[in-house]
Amino acid sequence: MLTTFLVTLKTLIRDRSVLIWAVAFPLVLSTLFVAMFSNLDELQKLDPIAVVIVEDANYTNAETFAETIDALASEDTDPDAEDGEPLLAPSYVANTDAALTALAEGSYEGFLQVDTESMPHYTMDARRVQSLGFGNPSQSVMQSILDRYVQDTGLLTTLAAENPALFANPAFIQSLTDGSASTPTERISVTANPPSDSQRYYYAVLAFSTIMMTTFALAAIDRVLGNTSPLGARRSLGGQSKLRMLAPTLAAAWLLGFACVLVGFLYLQLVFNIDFGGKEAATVLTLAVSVLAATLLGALLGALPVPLAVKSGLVAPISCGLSLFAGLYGPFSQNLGDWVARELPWLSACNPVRQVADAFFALYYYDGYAQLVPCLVSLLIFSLVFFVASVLIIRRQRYASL
Amino acid sequence: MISDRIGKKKVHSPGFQLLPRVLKEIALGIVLVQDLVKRYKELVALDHFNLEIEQGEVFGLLGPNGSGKTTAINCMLQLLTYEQGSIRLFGEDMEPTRYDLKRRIGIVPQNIAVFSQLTVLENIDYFCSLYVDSKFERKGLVEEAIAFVGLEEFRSFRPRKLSGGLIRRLNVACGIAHKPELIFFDEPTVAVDPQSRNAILEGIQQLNREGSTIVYTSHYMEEVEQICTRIMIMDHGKALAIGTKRELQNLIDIGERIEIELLEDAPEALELAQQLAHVVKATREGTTLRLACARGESNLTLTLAALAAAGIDYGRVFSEPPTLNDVFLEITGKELRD
Repeated sequence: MLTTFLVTLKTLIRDRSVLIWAVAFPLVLSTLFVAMFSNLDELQKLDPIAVVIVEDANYTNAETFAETIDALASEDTDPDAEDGEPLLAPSYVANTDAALTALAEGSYEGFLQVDTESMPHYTMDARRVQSLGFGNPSQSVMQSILDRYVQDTGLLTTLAAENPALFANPAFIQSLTDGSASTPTERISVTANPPSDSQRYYYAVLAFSTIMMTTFALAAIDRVLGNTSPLGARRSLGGQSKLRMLAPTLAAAWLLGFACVLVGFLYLQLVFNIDFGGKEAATVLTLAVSVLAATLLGALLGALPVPLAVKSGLVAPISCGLSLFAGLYGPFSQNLGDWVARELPWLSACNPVRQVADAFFALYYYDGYAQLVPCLVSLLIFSLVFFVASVLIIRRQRYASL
Repeated sequence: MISDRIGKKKVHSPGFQLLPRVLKEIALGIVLVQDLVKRYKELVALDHFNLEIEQGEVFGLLGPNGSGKTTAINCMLQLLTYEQGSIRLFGEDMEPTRYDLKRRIGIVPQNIAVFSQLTVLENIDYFCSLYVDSKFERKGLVEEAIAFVGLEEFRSFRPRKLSGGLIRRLNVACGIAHKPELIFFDEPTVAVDPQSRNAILEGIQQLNREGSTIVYTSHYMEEVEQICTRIMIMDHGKALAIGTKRELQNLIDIGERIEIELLEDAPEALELAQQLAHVVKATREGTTLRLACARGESNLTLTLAALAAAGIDYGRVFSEPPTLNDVFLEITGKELRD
């Protein structure tokens, strides 16, 4: 059995066409996906807003506003913040003319100046308003900052006028300085890791790669069966039972497939820093179970009494077809897959590629493993079904024709 | 050599158990096929086919394409199902799970059946491992097989780098490395150059001398004539004739072919020859007279006497007995087959 195991490994490793489809193709596809979607999450982020501050006497007198601007221009030290980048990137000029000149250069979103009553005013570059319209996020952010400042200043002024004793209370002063008084809500994350649009693509491509591992078992089983090739016929006539032939053959196909997806996983994680939720052991287990399902699907395809070229030709359409519902091909594919999962959950459960992708999602978004287990169970059920179906074909010792 | 093999087996099994087995094989023959019927849908591939092969024979299976030779072998080896009949190998009922019997059999299939991804050495070792578990034991057997087929210089070559003849030799080595007692050669010399063919045929004879019983199928009559001790001619799934070469030649009503070189152009020689009772067909080309005779004891003497009586002088005379090809064509017919 060891000899059969080693020979199967050698023959698969030395088979260029098998290696291209099972190893090179998924790696190339992963690289293309990373190249295409790596900036997807960046598009969701807001770069620091470049503004000009008119640093005149009014601004100097408006100490609270100046401190607010300084705070927004410094790196965020809040541990709950998604990143430490500042909200504003201010440049200071002496007067309004200089601010207008700076704005005319086109490098700034607008300029801020403070009037004699310490009220801030924001002037936007008209060209940006026209070109970006209402969807300009920096405009919304600036409006929100200034509204909040004016609102809070007005509130405190009113409180100081109507209830000056309040300001003698140290607890109230403390709440003002640590921000708890003005922050009635607390930011929490409902997922273990922050949502990311690009993750769907990477998980789908890894799931697709996993199902492509059917190629190994398909090629290996084709060389075992008496009615599929002269080589298989000769091996069938040897002095070894089917079990002694098939067990090491499938084990070798699984091992090689597992090694390949492991390389793909490490490639995505180490080279492109794709996040799998920090659960490496569970991820590797998921890959192992996924490849088991793929291997046994390959065994079933390999056992079909048709020429190898026909069987091999089935792998790509099956993998690509199933990947459609795992969201491999973009928003349409993702929406379709989600719709099927919502409306026809049993159909979604019958898609091993979707189950593999969902398993990666479960690892990334959920704290525990409760969401992962159903995916793995589904994949194991697939494996069992494929195994039984292939054994029913493979177990035959004799054939009506060759 | 057969006794040598039996002696070797004693290492693994006590002699008192071995003796009944050997007697059984001698009594029943190594191969015994009775009343075998195999159909491919409407086509009857084997029609109540019978075959008995004794230990130590080189048995030839002759037949045109589609006559059922390969089907018969595949049924015997339990790769194909069959509708009716019994198959006994080594005196035992052959069944798909009789791995003990399969381990005593070698097969050299008609189609090349080796791994294109493995080297010569790896291929032979793998196929040997289907019969011999011990890697240590295999090492010697594999080296012997490589030397036997003359592939010493090519042991690290993969099949795609070998010529057609060398691949055929590799195909043979994979089938015989485990030193089987019974070897099926299914047209092993197809598309092989004369040198390789000669090497393969000599190898088969050597295997037979070393104790293996051989079942050999081929289209090439001269090969079968050269190496087979007994021959079966089959067609349409039936055994049409069986016997030694001489016995088969005697089955047909064709005698020798005679070629006579006349000393001068004599048209009357052709007319004379055509009138002779034992001459089936006569042709003349210049001064060469060619005659095909019916089976008879003294065809040559009668022909030469008739020429002499007519005053026709002749020089060299050639007489060739009927070939197996003649027998084959006579029995199976001369129409073209697929």
